[in-house]
Amino acid sequence: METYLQFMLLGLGSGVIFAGLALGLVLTYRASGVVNFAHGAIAMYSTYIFSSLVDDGQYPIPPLPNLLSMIEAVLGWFGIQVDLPDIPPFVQLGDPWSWPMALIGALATAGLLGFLFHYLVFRPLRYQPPLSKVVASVGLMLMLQAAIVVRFSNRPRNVAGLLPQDGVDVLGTTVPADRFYLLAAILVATALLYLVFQRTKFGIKTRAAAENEQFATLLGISADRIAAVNWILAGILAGLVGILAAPITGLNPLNMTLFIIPALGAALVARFQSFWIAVWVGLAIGAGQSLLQIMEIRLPWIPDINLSQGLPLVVIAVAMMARGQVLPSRGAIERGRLPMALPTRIRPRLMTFWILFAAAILIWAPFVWRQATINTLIGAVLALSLIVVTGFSGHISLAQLSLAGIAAFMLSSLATDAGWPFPLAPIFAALVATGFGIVIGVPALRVRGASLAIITLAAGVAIEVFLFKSDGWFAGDSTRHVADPSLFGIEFGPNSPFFFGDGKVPSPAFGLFVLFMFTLAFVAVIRLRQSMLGEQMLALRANERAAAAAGVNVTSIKLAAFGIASFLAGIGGTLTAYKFGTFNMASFGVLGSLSVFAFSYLGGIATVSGSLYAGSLFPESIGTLAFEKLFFPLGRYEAYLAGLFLIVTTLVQPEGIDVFDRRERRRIGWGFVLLWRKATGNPDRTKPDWVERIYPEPKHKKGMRPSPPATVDAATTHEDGGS
Amino acid sequence: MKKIAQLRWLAILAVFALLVAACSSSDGDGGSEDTSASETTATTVAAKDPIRVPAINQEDGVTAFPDEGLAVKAIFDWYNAQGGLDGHPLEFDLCTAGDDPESTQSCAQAIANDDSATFVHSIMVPNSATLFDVMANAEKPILAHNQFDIPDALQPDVYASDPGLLPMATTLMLYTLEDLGLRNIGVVVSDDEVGRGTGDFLGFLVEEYGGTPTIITYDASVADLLPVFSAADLDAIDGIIFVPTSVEDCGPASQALKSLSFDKPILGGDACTAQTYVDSGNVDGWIFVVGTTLLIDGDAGRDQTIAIFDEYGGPPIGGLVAPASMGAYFVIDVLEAAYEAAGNDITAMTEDLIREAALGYTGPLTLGPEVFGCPGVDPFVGLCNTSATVVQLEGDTFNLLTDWYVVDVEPYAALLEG
Amino acid sequence: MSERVLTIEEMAAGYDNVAVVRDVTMHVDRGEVVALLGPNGAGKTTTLGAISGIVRLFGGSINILGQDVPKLRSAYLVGQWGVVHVPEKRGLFFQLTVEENLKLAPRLESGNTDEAYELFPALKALRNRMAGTLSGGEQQMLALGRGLLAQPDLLMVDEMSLGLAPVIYEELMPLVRKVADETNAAVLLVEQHTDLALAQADRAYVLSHGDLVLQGKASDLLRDRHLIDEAYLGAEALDQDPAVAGSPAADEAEAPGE
Repeated sequence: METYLQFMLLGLGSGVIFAGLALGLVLTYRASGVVNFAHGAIAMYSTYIFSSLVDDGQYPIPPLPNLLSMIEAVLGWFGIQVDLPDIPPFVQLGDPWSWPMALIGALATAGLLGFLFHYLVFRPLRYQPPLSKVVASVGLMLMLQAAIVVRFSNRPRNVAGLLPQDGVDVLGTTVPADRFYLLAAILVATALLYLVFQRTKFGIKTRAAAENEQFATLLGISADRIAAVNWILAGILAGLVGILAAPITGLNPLNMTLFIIPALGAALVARFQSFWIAVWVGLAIGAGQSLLQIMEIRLPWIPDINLSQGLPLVVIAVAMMARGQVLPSRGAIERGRLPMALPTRIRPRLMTFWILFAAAILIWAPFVWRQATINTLIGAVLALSLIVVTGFSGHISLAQLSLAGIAAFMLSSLATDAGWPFPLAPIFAALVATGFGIVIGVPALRVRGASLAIITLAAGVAIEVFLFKSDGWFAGDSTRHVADPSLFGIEFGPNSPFFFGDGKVPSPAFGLFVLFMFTLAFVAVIRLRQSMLGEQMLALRANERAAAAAGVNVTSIKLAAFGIASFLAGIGGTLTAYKFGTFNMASFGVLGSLSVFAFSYLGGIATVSGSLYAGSLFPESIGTLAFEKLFFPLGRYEAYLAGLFLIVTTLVQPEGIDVFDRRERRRIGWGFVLLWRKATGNPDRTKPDWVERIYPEPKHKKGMRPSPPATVDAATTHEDGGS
Repeated sequence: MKKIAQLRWLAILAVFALLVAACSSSDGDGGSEDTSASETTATTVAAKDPIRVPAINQEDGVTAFPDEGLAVKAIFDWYNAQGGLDGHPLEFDLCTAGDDPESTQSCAQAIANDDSATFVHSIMVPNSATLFDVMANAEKPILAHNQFDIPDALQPDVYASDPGLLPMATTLMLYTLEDLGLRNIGVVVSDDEVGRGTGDFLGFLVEEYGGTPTIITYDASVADLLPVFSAADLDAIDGIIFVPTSVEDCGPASQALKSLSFDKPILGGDACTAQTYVDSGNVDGWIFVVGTTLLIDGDAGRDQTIAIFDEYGGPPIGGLVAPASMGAYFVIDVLEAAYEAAGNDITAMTEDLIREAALGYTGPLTLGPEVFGCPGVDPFVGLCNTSATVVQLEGDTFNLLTDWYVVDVEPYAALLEG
Repeated sequence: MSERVLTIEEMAAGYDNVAVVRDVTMHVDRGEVVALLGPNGAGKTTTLGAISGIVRLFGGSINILGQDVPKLRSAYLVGQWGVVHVPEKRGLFFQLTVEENLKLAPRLESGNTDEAYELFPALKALRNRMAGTLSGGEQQMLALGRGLLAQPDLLMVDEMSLGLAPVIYEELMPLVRKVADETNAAVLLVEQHTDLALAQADRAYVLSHGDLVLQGKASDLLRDRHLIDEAYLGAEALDQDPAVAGSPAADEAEAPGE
């Protein structure tokens, strides 16, 4: 028994990190109603600032728009070479700084980041539905991480420990002192936050604004300013955790960003309300992980399935589900609309044209474009999966790529190891993914919005950790192999011969196969949108209670949504497996799921044709390739821009590029039509139907001038109030 | 309504300006194809037709090895400045990939589809699975691939100058068992198929010597490595062997061990010899297994390479820069042999000739052991180099502790079965 | 002539792009109790919201204590102008205690809440209870107490009697009068209970469909009660009543035939 206590004590290091991050998450939520997925990224970013100041005396400037560069480029098109000043990547601030100064600099940056998040992103989004905020937060996470990768590459960096590191003997085990200092710091911070929220006027105001923003406004409380101060505090807290914990975890762009997942779990158990619960649960997760880890090592009877990594998260999901918690609402009016799921129809001639066009590209275009088109189509299938589950049904699922991975794995087991023929193997593989997907969908029956996003994220991690890595029943190599698919002796894999084309890889045969599969999926989703099932999904998305009252079977529709979406993800996974031939399960990880989600949202989460736009944003797809050919290869900047675009999209055009494109094309077209009419002396100014159809924006109606009020005066008939 | 429309265009404009700024900033480096420097070198010294060296390196992503790319480039630049291959300059044609396997596939396809590319120099490519698939289908050999895992070593037509995980871990273990005479050994490996396999085999070795192994696997994504080390019951063991698969893990591991005041021998993999870790002081006194002599004071190859890096803009030495540098020298040696076999005619340097040159190459390797032979022993066809040696860090110098071990890889085959 | 606290001229206000209140001109002086009456949907709550800044102003002007309230003002500046708005739902925070709710009164630098307990002794025993557990009457007392702690120049109460038993609001209503008399605050009262409101008020305005259709002294309106009923039905009814000055029917009566 004593040993188990020892083991749990050893988990203090991770526990303190999870607790510290969870504390900041709860603070942010209580102050502004936002679940900040990028909280860990703030911690990471501040630590890099600290490291850069202490080691080199340099302050990194994130990639920023520079209008002068634009002028340079434009002049360059005309052949004029100018060299205007650039924004330097680093600012040299003298010699390497002392650690107190560097700490101040880093924490100031952290506070500034918190403020900017609030002011530039979450304040404008405050009346939007949770989807927008989750997306924006994911975008910020991607951006911060990418900014560090751009500036610092990946050279390992060591951060000097600010806290004493000598071992302390406790309960017969040695634990470095810094864990205890960190624990003390976190507990003090928790106590302080608790006191501030309970006793100080600022704390009471924050709680008031959190409960009902409008009532708070009537009392002269600026919810906005309160949120800003709290965001700054949360940022500083994140920075502190990151810097003090860096010697424990090492410094790289990915760590802190991913530690947010257990922290989110802890905050979720605390309902994003209680500081103490969040901290204790965070510590418990750390202790639990350590306990399981050591038990796995010391006790041979425990199956070796990475219990320590996946279990705490799964337990949280189960706990949340059992309690049926919903994040406390904020009493603020949710005025924003969900991304519109525009009605759609199949236009046979247009579709035939595009199919033939795509086929032509897949046969005769240079191989780079062929592969890009294939990547686009496969990405589009994955995007279709998100369109069904998030766009139509309103459930934020961050586990789609993990489901794709399950299908890919099953395909290689069935087709290559067990010799199942096409199409039995891929279909069954997709069905296995569907099974998992429905299981993931069960929490959606009781949990919504950001909470569901957290649970699906945890599920994705659990899949990665339990299934993709271990020697468990998904046993074997993490490198999988899939042979080229074939039917009736005709091969249509990337290396299969084809009678037309240049004979290079990827084979047009494979491209046409992918095109075929995509078309099937595309048409299927259109039909879904047009069907009763699709309407019911949309009804559920809009208002679950009203839909239930109208007779929609909530459970079966929700599970159907997850089922269909996972089947599509599974198909995407099998196509990916065929595409690579030999692949590693690591490519279906959690970060990948976040990227797929990001691209799908960017392309257009609620419109079927949005899937194509989304697909073109995937790595090495048409969009990125075209950009590379026209301008320059994006390389490391791709993730940064993806994150930035994501935020801009939530702020400005939640329907994504698809609707933006449609509307702007119509607007430009209308501009031309107007010009033509003016030129030909046509006085008609009415908009044709094809312009009006893409949602007309409501016009500002001016109030009408009414007649004056009647006045009663007993004594006279004197008129009061002029006419 | 107008305001939103204006905002949209403003946002687009800002993003565009950002893109252009990214283009012109120096570290954005316009190209994933980088032939500029070699072209300049070509005109200044060697004036004959260049010999193309198609190369792939992962440099754009969270996992990135830009230093390793710089090392190879510097060595090629130096070689060209010396006159190149009989007057032919080497044209270092680098395609950089990112984290996503699609970019690796894209680089590989470009080479596979290019008839004038007869091989690929693969520097650091974690997404090796897709690279191998494309190259195998195109039947082009891969030279100097850094061995990441068992599948790498099983690839036919891959000729690696780096011994890779298994021989190096074995060397370290044999040194511990034979030279240090320790018996109760803690083996810390990463928790994936590679790490576990390595751990299993090393444990087996220890038992062969009548010792007691404690195999500990750590998950790379875990926040704190301390529990892992403590699980080893440090009082009962005589020494720890730490074999990371990821360079970042060295930091937390060394920190944890230092804070535990573990004063018995600690042995680590070469990833932990990166300059950052040396500077931190946390790995002082550690014993490292290395596959090259780049870090060893007094070695001629080391002096030469450091001089090259100084002059041609190479990276700080240490960590995986060592195997990458050795790889560059290996590629040069193979090309020289192939050139000779082709009768000094660069147009006759086909895939087959290069393959044979690699297969027939027996060393000595610059920065490497004298004994070198491709192909590797069945089934580890790609494992040409199974030699490693052991050094110890004192302050900031690495002292050679022993001669090159030549590891017998036959028992590894048994590992694959079970 | 006592000081004019609130002056509204030709105000139009509403939500999104629809004007709910179209043209309202009214004023409240110090020490006055003014009732704002009208049927549901007339725009009474919107008017109060426009004054306190939570509803968008489309046109016209609002002047408080000689200061023109700017059209694009931040709603939270209401505290600075001495305007206290007790909204329809009382504006209490159910997750906070009675004491904490009181502490949030605007312009309460000292944090001293004793005055509220003096005014409403019943609240003292409930000091640390969550506001959500209070009865309707107690909640109304809390809301009023908090409002009064702010020492308002203009106190606006929306539907004070809503959901309260007659006994309770009959007790609370006279308070409003007392406040105006003793502190010299201007009080604007929105009420459905016409008689009760007129009993305490000096003057009254009647809104219907966003327009001001009737105004006058409370005593006059109480006497000519039917006018208010007609006002509730709309301006047409008023047009047909000869007793209403300026209405077409009155003109007819003055000069029949012609």
